[in-house]
Amino acid sequence: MAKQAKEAKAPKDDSITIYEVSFIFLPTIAEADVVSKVENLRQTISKAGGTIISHEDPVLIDLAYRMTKVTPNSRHKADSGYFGWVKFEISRDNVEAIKKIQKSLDDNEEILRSLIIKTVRENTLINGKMKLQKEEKTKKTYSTEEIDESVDLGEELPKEASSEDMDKSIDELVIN
Amino acid sequence: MKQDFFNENNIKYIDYKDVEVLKKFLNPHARIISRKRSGITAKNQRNLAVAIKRARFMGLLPFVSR
Repeated sequence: MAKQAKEAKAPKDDSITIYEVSFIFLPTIAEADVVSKVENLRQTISKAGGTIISHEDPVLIDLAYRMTKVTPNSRHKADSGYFGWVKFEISRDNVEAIKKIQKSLDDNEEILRSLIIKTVRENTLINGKMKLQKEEKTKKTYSTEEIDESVDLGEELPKEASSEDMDKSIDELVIN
Repeated sequence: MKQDFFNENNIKYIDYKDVEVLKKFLNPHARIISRKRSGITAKNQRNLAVAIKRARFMGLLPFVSR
């Protein structure tokens, strides 16, 4: 029933197009800052005349391949990034707004990659949320734990001690 | 005849963010499985191909894999 109602509504909104913007932020950004960056993006969308329908906040994910972001003074290589998306509606005639949003995404040096597509109003994700991110997160925590363990096992202290010994022996040599 | 996966699950819009679903239509080399083998309708296969390519661009799926 609900679906039928939605379908009936769709033809009425001929003057409105639904867009979805997805973006990957550079992993060098602190996790706390990412939310405010998305807030800026949402403001640019609403300033351009769009109305936000739904969104998902960025989550750090492992990328399937290495991406590079070239900015005037540096070349970032990223294996991970904060992936998020925003869905919004905008009147069909408002082509300039989409161009403006596209430009703001392109000019943003913290955005690794972005994509604007036309979509439908209904939630298109099967589970309502992206499944991948949870898995990636758990994987990540595992990997970091492993790294921590290896650091513990690595035992940096003896190395330092040995360097001190070296210094001592050098000092002795110098004295002699 | 195989049944169409997307019709069976009542998926009307194939979303590029549904990585778990898209992965079913990739072979171990991360190439898109042909319509002969995937058994989905021509329309869905076209939309699936677009979705996979979008997911690849956004780094959610690999272009190549061993």
